[in-house]
Amino acid sequence: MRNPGRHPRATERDLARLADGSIEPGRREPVERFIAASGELQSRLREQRRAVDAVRAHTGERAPLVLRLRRRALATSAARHRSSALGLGLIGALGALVWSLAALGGGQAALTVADAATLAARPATAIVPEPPDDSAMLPRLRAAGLPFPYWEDRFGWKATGVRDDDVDGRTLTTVFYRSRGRRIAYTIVSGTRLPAAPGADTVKRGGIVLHASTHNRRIIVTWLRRGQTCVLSGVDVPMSTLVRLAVWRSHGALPY
Amino acid sequence: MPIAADHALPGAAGASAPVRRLDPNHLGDHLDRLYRAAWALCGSREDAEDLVQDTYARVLQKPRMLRSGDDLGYLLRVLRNTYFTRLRAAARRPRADPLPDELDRVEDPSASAPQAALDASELYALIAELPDPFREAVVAVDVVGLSYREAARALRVREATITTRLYRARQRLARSLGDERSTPAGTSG
Repeated sequence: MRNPGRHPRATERDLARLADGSIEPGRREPVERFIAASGELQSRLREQRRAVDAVRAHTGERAPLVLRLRRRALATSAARHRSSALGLGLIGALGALVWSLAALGGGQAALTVADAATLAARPATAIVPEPPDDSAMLPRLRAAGLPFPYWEDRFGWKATGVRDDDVDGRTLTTVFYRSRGRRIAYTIVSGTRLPAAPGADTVKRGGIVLHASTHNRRIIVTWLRRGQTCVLSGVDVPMSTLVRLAVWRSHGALPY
Repeated sequence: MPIAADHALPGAAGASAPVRRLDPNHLGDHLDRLYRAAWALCGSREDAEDLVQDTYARVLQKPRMLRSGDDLGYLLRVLRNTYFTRLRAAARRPRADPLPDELDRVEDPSASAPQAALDASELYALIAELPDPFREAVVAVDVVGLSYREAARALRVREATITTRLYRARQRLARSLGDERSTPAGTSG
């Protein structure tokens, strides 16, 4: 056996391999015997095992849903690209990344309210311009022809950012609002209306029909504005607050 | 269609192995491990998502020819190269003020429990703080799960070098994790 005093680097390798179980079977027993005679080596081995255990404890950590969708979209785009045989670079074509939710679930899947609410967990990609005084809507910001409400003066919810996503052939524009450390997301989904989440409660306020549901801890309220699905969601925000914000039209100044 | 053979493996074994094309249909099999590797490299969950996406975009950009069956090792190398490319690009960019906005996460079915996620964040942040060679060794072997030989091939260093770096990386990591006196011996290996 190698002498750790004369070959400290070799002993380090033994300790590393012993800690993760990759040591050669014939070497394990003499190394373990040698380590048993040394308190210092035992301590070093414990360190190795502590690190190995810490990392292995997280081998179940999975990539988030959003990343899975992005990866699928890339693969789909690349396959289309190859079949077209145009030979153009893929990355340039991915400037506007299209998520292929239809690729999930054997082609059965379509965009759902819960999927749209998932965007609330994503970061904003642009800031929101400040509106002029007495405005009911955020300036220069429209989705499917609809403006987003300006809530800060009336409700204290400040618009802090916006992001656009293309999902399953639809454009989803999300504006994020903050108030007292809480954050909500308002998404307008272009295209045909999304079906209400299964089991959603239906309420009617101010002539507007809303569907309220929860997805994990997120409370989600959906309704229609000129046929477009609007999704407002937040964590630790009362549903009544979301409903009140959803139906606010500023006496007709905000188009519904 | 032109075929890019940009994965020349070091050593005689790599040179003599038959060349085969990386199958894009199976790249998703490695997503979770690459994500953990990216997280440990970046120390940030959000940066990890972007890094993995860039890595896949890069790999899928053109057909890839490999001289081994080690798809994961190849992907790890591309991930690492992409990571350093991004770092260099970020260093050249003027720094912008961050958006006045914080990430508010929604739970999804693939997410781990909050406490576990918190622990993972702490762990990967600690790994991300290791010096590059140590971090790469622990990412390749402990996080991704490559053998020492595969890790050496992926990182283009000798196997003995990987082992030594791994030992020292774990040693630093264990000390960062806290007082080792509370950890009983013999819990793994």
